[in-house]
Amino acid sequence: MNEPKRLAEFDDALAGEIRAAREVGPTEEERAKLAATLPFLAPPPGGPGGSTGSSAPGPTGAAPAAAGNTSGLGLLKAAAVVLTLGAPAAWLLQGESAPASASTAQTVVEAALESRASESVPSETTASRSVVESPTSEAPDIASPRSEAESHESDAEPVEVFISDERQIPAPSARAPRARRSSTEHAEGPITPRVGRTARHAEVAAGVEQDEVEEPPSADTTYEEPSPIADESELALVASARRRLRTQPARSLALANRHRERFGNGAFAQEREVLAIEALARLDRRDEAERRAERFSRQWPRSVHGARISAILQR
Amino acid sequence: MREIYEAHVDDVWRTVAFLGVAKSEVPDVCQEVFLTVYRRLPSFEGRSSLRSWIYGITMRTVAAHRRRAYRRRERPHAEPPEPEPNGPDQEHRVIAKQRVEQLRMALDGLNEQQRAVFVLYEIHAMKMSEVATTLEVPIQTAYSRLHAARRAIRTLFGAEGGQ
Repeated sequence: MNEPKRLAEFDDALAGEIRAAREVGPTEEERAKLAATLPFLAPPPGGPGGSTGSSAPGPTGAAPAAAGNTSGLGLLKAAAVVLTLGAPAAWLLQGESAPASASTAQTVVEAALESRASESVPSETTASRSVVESPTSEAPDIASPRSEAESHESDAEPVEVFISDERQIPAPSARAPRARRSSTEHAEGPITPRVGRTARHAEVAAGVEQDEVEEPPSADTTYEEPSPIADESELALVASARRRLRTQPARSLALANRHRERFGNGAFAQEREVLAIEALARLDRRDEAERRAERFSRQWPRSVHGARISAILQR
Repeated sequence: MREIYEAHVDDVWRTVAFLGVAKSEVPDVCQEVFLTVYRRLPSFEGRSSLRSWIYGITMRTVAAHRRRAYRRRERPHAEPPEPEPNGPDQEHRVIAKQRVEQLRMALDGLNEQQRAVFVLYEIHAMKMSEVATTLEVPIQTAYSRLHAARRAIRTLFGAEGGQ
């Protein structure tokens, strides 16, 4: 099977981002700090970073530089410290036969890891049991960025707190099977008014935009409380707010506020704020829009969205 | 072990950074990965490449970390401000960082499986067969996840271009 061309090779919109991503890595300082926390990498005498000699390698040697901005690694870090202090010649661990102190040290690491690695086991099982998706499937499974297990745990934010209105859409449970959710993913997924015709038609065919058709934009100026949406994932909320920006700015604002309430400084916080500012501007609530824009520029002074916000406020 | 660390630390760091771990926690997760590598190295049977094996450990470590972080209801907090651009070189770096941030945010919109395939194939330029081996999924599944991830990322980037 031929490998598909990579986006970095042909996609103008994404090549720059992916190439930049390929350059990401630890700085020399970060690399040294990380190495200092790994007992089996204690620098040999005279080796790189071995200026303190062989008597105190590892975290203790790097502590003055590292202590300022690391919050500690809990059990693992403690284990590393124990290791390093208990086995001054820990670099010998690189050898085939570990000395007795190293065996003890390894036991400590294993004990530390067991408590955390035990959580890795289910993920292995999950991976091996994962559903084989159809390669021709046209339904992107992007409206549920959290794993199913996480969705189950998100019941602290119940959908039923909403005051529903006449356009209430039945909210499926978080455990709803994928096939059941696929149509609602179209309803609340990241589809903007700019999407292609096919997707748009699919939405209409699924009857998911009836509310927008039935209600004229002018009726939306006082709407504040969002009705439940099928998928309250972070992405779904922002995408939903975006779709309603032009036709239902008040609802869009309410959804953006809902996102702020639930996700705070989540992954789409900036996009949410831009949407809220534009919605406020469309609702002629310019003072609020400007205040929110000021907060935005204080929080993200060099955001790529700055120019957009200026343009919105100048309209 | 030092050779393994030196050869793979950049890849592990990059993988962790793009799999949704908060920047401030990347070093901790990388440390956990290498401790696991060290601990399990004797059981490495060579059925896959060492690189795939380490990536597999990285994926599982990140997944476990995300579950723990979610249980603690942690949200990524504001990163410390970047220094002001000083000269064209610095400006170039700032732009690159912004691009990386945009991509990270877009990746946050994917589910874990799609994200893993996208990161390994598009950012690490792994072969698809290696991606499938690393993630322990049939190759067709890997392809379909890549397809879905690309669609989602393009939608997100397209949507960011203004209206």
